[in-house]
Order: sequence, then structure tokens, then C-alpha cells
Amino acid sequence: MADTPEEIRSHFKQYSIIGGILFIGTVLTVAVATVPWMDIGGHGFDKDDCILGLTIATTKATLVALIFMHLNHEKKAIYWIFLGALVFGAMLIALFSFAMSDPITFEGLLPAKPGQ
Amino acid sequence: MEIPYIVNSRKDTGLNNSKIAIWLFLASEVMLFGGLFSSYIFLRVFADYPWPERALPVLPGLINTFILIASSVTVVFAWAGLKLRKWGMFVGNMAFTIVCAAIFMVFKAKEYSGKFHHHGSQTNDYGWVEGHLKYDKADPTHGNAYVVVADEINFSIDSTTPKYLATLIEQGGDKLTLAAPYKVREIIGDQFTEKVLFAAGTKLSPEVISEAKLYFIAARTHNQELRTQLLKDAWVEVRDPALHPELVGFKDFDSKVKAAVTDAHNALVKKAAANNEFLLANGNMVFNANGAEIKLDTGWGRISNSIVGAATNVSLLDGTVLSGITGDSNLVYKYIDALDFRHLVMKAEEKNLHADDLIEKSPILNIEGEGGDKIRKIWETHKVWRGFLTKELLTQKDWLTGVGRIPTEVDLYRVTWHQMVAYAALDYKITAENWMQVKDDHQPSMIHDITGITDEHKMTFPKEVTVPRDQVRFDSVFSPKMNNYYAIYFTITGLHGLHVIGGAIVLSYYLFFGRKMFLSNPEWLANRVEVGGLFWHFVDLVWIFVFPIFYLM
Repeated sequence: MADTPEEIRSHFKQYSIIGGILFIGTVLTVAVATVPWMDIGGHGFDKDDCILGLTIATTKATLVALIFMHLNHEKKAIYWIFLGALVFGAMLIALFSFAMSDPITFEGLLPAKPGQ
Repeated sequence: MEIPYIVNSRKDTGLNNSKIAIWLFLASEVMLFGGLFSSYIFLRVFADYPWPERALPVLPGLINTFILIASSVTVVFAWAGLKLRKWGMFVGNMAFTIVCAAIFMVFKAKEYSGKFHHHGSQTNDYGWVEGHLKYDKADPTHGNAYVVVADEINFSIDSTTPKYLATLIEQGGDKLTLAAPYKVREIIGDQFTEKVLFAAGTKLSPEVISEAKLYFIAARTHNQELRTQLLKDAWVEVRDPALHPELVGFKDFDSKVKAAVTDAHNALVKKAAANNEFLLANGNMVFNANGAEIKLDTGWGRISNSIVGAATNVSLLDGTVLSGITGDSNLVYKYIDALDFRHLVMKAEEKNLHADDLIEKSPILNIEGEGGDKIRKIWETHKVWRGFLTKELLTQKDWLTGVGRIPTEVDLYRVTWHQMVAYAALDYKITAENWMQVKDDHQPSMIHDITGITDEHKMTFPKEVTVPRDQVRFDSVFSPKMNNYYAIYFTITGLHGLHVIGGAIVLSYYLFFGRKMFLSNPEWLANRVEVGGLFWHFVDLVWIFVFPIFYLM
């Protein structure tokens, strides 16, 4: 992590550039959701828009974590803590996936198909 | 107590303790929000109703995203200012960050306020109308009331709510009289004396309910204490070898002993009742209403039969029950700003029914009056417009994936206020030449998501619309009660908003009270701001996901 005045000053430009990229990423997210010719996949919101939107969001979040939160040059202890949180966070999502494959939990909860 | 390693780093971790602590906290936060987002996915994937896609105003959300990104940049510069020992740089950037937090919360409050004042009603066929109820200062129910021509009101006196009671007294007045004498039994010395506390015909008043409640609670307490004492007596009796030699050697929890205690207790209670040792504990007071017309807020309870003229009960949340005849309880909208038949279509498709036929028969398209005429006009115009849209989309292919295009359910079955304005601007005549203007030229711009709907726009909406109460399946403002979407939306954005407020308070503390520390131990202040800044970045990071998920998807 930057500690000397010189090192800190050298990062000013980087912080501003990352801020700019975050702004552009946000505009891009809105554009693909609202401007018809930028709408990928089918018309309106669909899987493709979801993937693109979340990809941009994840990229932005990664930049915030790496640059603003200094995770690009942190000590080991922080990485372990952060990794632990990510693993448990992922498990929370995975729990949902396990539930989806449980026929007992979901039988009758799935939206009815036409004709049923 | 001095906390070690808050300025200098520990040798083993290479970090100061404050930083370790904030990262542990942020780790717990990642899991908290991770769980909530997981809930969101769960609710959305298995929603048994059309998910409200892009139901929130985009522009305020976009501005809030810009605000949080900008504040994330300035909070880093504020920290850098301290590391460079430049107080002015710290103050300027930190002040900007806090102003950003305040603006963020203003937009959020405006968004929430809009939701809490916007109303939606679902008819029995799963169609929806949305709009604003008729506002009337003199009528707090604002056109959304249960009206009962009441014969009788039954109060549960230990739970009666003063607010409900006051409303009933205000509207029922002298007509509300006690149906039968309210008797109580007092203990004076060793004597039990029965008396009529209130005679039949006594007018309803808060004092009557309060006094009866005092007697009721005293009687209930006395009776419970007496029963407890009799139970103790029953145990003494049962465990007496002289009286129950057959139970000697059995444990207290043996069923034989328990049965004997129950029998003994019942016998003692019966004897006490015969001796009039119990007090009268009548928790209900029934009042004749003599045809008083009572108007009640629909949020206060439920009506059993909403057909005008039918016999009905209205059960209030405090246990009060009004019996009588349903009066004019119809929902009155000042104006309607959206129609939505997607849920109706979903239900029709589940049953292999032809959705468009059902829509034509919907109570929404059969509402009487000028407002109803306007709704029909708008819907007919929408059908023409969506026809052109469908035709156009069928000629298109996605430039990236080559996928053919079809209109969405929103395009087909939802009419927004923007479209209502556009249809009116085209005089409800959609042609091959002008249909595209509905999405372009004649729609209000996104800026109206902030400035609000103008009076000019409202002129194009169906006004003074009366939705028959017996056709209403569900109605609510756009609060968490509306559906799971709004429940999870308010949970996640509300929790995020609390984080913004909390973060802003901490950062403000550094700004307004940090000068002394800056002069004495600037590195310590820098560490503190770094820790506060990490939290602030996390708040930004959460919003980076909240914005697209809730506002754009």
C-alpha cells in the first residue's frame, strides 16, 4: 500500500481514471438497458442483458475493491479475510442452487406450465 | 484502556488492528448482502406473478450511482490529503463526500415517498390499475374505505385501540348504545357482590370501555390466581397418602398422577364456581349501532363481503367486529396512471385460456363513467400501437446474436403513464406513420422521474375512476406489502440507506472533530479515515449491484 508522499501522489491520476471508468461503466449499463439499438439478445430485458449488466457491475465492483480499497497490494491477512467472506457469500448463492435441485422443496412451487 | 497497534502495524500481520477489524466487519457485510441478494434471486426466479421489471425511475437511480462513485473518489483523496498532511485537501474532499451522502438520501427519500403515495388495485381477474387515490382532507380514507351500515359492534375491551374507538364514536354518535347490561362482581371484604356496571342503552364512550376494561382485567387476574391456587391445592390433595394411597410410589410426571391432579383440580374449580368465588370476566361489550353508517380505513381490518347491500362483518385489527350491511365501499381513484394485464395473461395461459378475450371482459375495461371511457380508449389505442410494434420487431434480428425479436409482456399488456401521455398527444390515432413517435417524440422525458408528473400529463389520465370494491382482489400502496419484489427492494435499499447514513455520520465526525488529532497525531487520523473510507467504498460497491438489479433488470 502507498505510504510515502511520492507514492500517494503517483496514485492521484489512477484514482481519477478509475472514477472515470466507473462513470462510463454506469452510463454503458443504462444505455444497454434503455437504448433500443444497444439492446443485445431479444427485445427488452432477457438473459443476455442480465449477463452483460452483471458483468459490467462486477467489473466496476472489482475496480473499486482493487484500487479504492487497495486490494491490489494488501497484506496476506486481508486476503484471507476477504477470501473467507467470498467463499461464504458464494455458498449462500450455492444454497439456493442446491434448493433448486431438490424435488421435494420445489415440487409445486415451480410456475405451472401452460395446460397444467 | 489503550488499544494497541492502532497507529503502527503489528509485526506478525503487517497491519494495524483497526484495519483488521474493519475488514472482518466488511467480511460479515459481504455475507449479509450476499444472503439478501440470494433471497432476491430466489424470489424472482420462483415468483408466481409477473416480476416488476424496470419498475423504478432510472434517472434518480443513475444520479445516485454517479453520486456514490464521485464520493468514493473523494474519500480516497481525503485520505491522501491526510497522508500528505494537507488539512485543506482533506476538508474539501471529505465535505464533498458528506454532501454526496446527503444528496443520495434526498433522492432515496423522494423515491420512497413516491412509492408510499402510489396505489395499486388488483381485480378478481388479476388485472391491475395503478394511480393515486382521491385525496380529500376531510376524509382520511382518501376514497379507499369500508363503509358499513352497522347493526352491532362487538368490542374486545382489553385490546380496543383508542384510534379506532374514537373514529367509531365520532361517526356513530348517539346511535351506539350498549345492547345488554354489563355486569361485574366485586369482592367487598369477604363478600362477593354482583352489580350492573353499565345499564343497557348506555352510550358508547372511551370511559365506558376503560372502566369495563379495569373490571375485566381485575376479574381475569383474580380468576387466574384462584385457578393457580386451586391447582396447588389439587397437588397437595393428590400427594396426600391418606387421601390417595393408590398413588404412593408414582412419580409426579406419571400419567396416573397427572390425571388425578386434573380431576382434583376440576372438582375444586367446580366447587369454587358453585360458591361464586370467581369474578365475572366478560371481555366483550356488544353495542347496538342502530344503522349508523361507519366509514373505516381499509388498512384497519378486513371485510367479509364487499358487495354493496350484502350482509357483512368488518373485523378490525384490535378485535372489534362490526356487523351490518356493506355500504358504498368502492375504491375511488383521483387518476389512473398505469394499466397492467400481465398477471391476468399469466393466469390465462396456465389454464390454456385466450388472454385477450379475458382482458376485454375485465372489470377494469368495464368501469363506468368518463374515467372508464378513457381507460377503454387508452387500451384500444394501445392494442393498435402494440400491433405496429409487433410487426416491426418481427423484421428485426439482434445485431450480436442474430436472435429474432418479439414484443415483451410489458410491451403487450402494460400501459404506462408515459404511453398515456403519448397516446393523448397523438389524439388516440395510431397509424403506420406515427406509431414510432409513441416511444420517441411524445413520451415525457426521464427528467419527469425527478420533477414528477405535471398537471398537463395528468390531463391525459383517466380521472375520477371508481373501481367496484367487490371486484377488488387486493389493493395496496407500493410498500413491502404489495409483493415480494417491493419487500426485498425496501429491505436491501433500506439497509443500504442505513449504511449510507451510518457512514456519513462517521465521516462527518472525522471532518468536524478531527482537527485536534490532525495536529497531534495525523497518522492516527489518517488510519481512521482509511478505515471509514473502506466502509464507504463497500457502500458504493453494494450500490454498484443494487442499481442494475433493481432499476434496470
